[in-house]
Amino acid sequence: MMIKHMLSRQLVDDILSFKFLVNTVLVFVAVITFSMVFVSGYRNTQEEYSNNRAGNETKLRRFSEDPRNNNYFANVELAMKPRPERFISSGYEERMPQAFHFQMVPFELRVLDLKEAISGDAGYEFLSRREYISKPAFFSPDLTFIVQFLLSFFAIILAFNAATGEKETGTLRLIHSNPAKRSHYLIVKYVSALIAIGLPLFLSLIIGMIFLGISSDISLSSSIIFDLFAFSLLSVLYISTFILIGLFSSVFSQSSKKSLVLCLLFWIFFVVILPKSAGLFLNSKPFDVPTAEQIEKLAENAAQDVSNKYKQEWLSARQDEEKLQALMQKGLAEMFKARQDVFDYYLQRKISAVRDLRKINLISPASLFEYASASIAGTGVAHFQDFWMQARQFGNGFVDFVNQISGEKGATSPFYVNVGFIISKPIDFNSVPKFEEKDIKTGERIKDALPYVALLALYNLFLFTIVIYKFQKYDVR
Amino acid sequence: MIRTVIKREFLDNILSFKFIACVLVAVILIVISTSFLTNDYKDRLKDYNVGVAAAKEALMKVPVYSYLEVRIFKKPNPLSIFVSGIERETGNYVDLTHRDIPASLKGGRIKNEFSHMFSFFDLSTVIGIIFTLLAILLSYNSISGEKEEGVLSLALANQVPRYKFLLGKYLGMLISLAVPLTLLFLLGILIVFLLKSVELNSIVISSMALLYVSSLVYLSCILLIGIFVSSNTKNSFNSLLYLLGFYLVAVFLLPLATSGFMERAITQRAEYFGKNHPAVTAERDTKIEEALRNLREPRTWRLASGFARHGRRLMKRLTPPELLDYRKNVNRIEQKIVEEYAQKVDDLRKIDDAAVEKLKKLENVIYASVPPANFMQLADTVADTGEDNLTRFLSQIAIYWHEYVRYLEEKKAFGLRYFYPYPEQFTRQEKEMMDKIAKDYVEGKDVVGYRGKYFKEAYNYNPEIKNLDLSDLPAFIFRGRTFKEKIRQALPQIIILIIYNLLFLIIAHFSFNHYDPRRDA
Repeated sequence: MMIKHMLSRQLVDDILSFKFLVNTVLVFVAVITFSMVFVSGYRNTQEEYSNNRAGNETKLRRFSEDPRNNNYFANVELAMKPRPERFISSGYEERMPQAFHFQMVPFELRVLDLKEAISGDAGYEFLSRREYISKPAFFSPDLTFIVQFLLSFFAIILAFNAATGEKETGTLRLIHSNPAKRSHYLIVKYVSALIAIGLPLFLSLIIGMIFLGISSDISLSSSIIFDLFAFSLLSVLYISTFILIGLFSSVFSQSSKKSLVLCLLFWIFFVVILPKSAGLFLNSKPFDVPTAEQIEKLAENAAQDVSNKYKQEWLSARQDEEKLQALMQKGLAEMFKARQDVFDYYLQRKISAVRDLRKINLISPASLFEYASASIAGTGVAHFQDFWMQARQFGNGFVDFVNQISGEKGATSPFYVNVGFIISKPIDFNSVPKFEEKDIKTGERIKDALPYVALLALYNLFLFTIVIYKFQKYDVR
Repeated sequence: MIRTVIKREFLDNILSFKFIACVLVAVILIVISTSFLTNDYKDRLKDYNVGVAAAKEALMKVPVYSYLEVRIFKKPNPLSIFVSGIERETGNYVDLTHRDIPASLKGGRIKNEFSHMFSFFDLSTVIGIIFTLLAILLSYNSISGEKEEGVLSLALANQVPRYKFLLGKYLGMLISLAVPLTLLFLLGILIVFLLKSVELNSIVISSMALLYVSSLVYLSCILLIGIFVSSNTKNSFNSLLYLLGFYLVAVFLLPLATSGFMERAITQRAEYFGKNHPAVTAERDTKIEEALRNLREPRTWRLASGFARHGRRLMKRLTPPELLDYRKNVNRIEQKIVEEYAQKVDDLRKIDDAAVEKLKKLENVIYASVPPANFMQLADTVADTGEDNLTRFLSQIAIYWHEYVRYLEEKKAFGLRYFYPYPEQFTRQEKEMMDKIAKDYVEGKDVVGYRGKYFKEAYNYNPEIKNLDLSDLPAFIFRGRTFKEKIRQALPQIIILIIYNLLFLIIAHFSFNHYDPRRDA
């Protein structure tokens, strides 16, 4: 009963406060601007994506009409599907490579960096259009930013004087002369702050959803709504961390002023400084990767090694046409595979370098939240990795398909097509494999997010215990 | 009297926890980021030097003009260590051919495509983010805080004029910010000096000085805003809330939203090139086709079996003179049209550029009106590492391209010396051999095939090619902004900051004169 009473008093206090008003206005303005930015940007990317698909279709149609024609061998650009969930968390996808170039003969699946993607079909258009580069911003305009940055700020502003403020006004002593438990007092503060921040959060999510719903380019599927729901739960957990950080500095300092300064320092360190410092270690040894040219050379060398291995066998089988054919096939398939393996190895290393670098940030709850929300939204590095797997499957499947339809016997390698044996008749266009990225399954996305969520929860628990423990000994005078 | 106020304020500030913490964070960030960026600059400079040497060497080994490709490198700017701008994001060279005007830089230092995901601090962002916060933390309670502690009424009772009190507080805070700021700049320069990578020439030093002055003007502006807010609020907590709201909006939200909108707007507006470029290219192709319609291609000599394989080098020389003439004419006609259309394509880009320019102007106006964003722009201008620098480089390249094509024309590059290898270089012996082979060859005999008469000669034929002398090729020299130009460019932004300073000083003075120094009951 007592606790209920305290909670309602606290909640009214919080919601009627000036800081609540400031924050709510800020959050609303940010949500509305960001959704406007997102909707217009999404239209652009959607258009680019459909252009890309149309281009691929033309190429594949030409291929199906005349499969043996050298110029028409499938030579397509596999693009990442723009997800509307980017509004929840962009995962910095807009600064990542988003396409692969697939070539059937000789087999090659290569990541296209953003620049190559700008200048159009790689290799076809020599007159590139001008790039307009702008300075990379520290954050991306998405819901994650609003929660990670604005609401966490609000959380510490609400919680920083939980103990110190009441002490200064003298209420704390009064409260403790009542039979209420000390821990209850703190829990009330905590819950009330959580509700006071949850309110603008949920309202802003609804506003965001309405904006997305209004725009004709985005269809609000049940999966987006589920993602938004999961995201809001995650946000509550994250905000709770910052409320606890606020309480933490409050119980550890004797005056509100000190507590606030401490809180602000915590906040700027966890939200801005730490997450934006990992990049400074990019050039250090463990995260270093070879340049594009060096990788190219390594790939050539790998192919050369295989061909050297087969040289003797090829020479000795010169007399027996059939045997030579088989040997050639085996050797070439292995060569292309070796080449592709080098590309794949280094791409994996680049991704791992980024992932490892990001591990430095795991001490920051803001980064934990960012990674978890990217996982829930299915964007970011994990999305790229999944997209890559799908592109790989498509490439190998395509080669298999051509081998199969050509009736090529003994062709077991998904890396090699014998050009001379490709079917000469037109192929049914509908049967030609086409690439379209499939969404990552919800279960998998949640599974990806779990470690981060668990860490965040641990963070909460740890802070909560310390805060409660310390407050028991707090000097209320 | 004013000296006492300043001294007290200064000592109060530098001994406070917030001050020490912020300065400590700033120092650590500067040490890490400056050493990272200095090493990065070193690598880029090495790339530049190696590239320039390689390009120079490549120019010595060009046998004919069709092989000529001039690679021009963009020298890294040492100021990118302090204001990284977009230098690391762009490439570092262009390849110049006579066919088109380059529109973007190639290459670059980014080895890992995913590294664009990371953004990091440099000197300008440390000032823009950490020092701005520090300035707010110092000034938010300058008036209201003094009131709460009861110092204000005491001080005013002691016959300190209000303006002197205000000025003393302001100067005290400014000095307490100037000390760590100076330290930061010196630390940055010291690290650069210790890593021995940059020659600290006069333009670097003077730009740094300009950057220092601008930072000080900017921080003073934030301080005055803080004093203004503080002298208009009854309690220091509200004052802090207002100021932090301003901080969030001006430092993070506004640039984020503006750049988001701008990015979308640019992709939407800059579509003229994409829409019209295919038509222009098609027009060029038909024009070339039309121009060449009257020329009849003479038939080449029929090749005997084995010729192509063993006489490849000879084959290129064994071309009938009328065919060579024909190619020469084609080349000449084609080049004129190609040049004309290269300019047209560049003009298409210019239309897009003009549209983008308008947007950028709007963006600049928005940024200029908000001090933190203004400062970030100002830092880019002073360091000359922003978009302007890239545009400048590319437009100078476009001008140089015409010079380059003129040079080729003067050298008659599109004539016979365009082909490989060009026939004017034949030695007498070679000519005799050619004549012999050509005569037999016309008669339809297999002359260089397996069983051919001249098989051996053809097989071993490996003429020494004399390379082109390109020593008189005009060099491209990139003219970055001189210090004077930098000042001229930065002046409007600095003036806006100074106006803000004066404005807030005046209204802070005005509101402080009416401020009620009594403590609330």
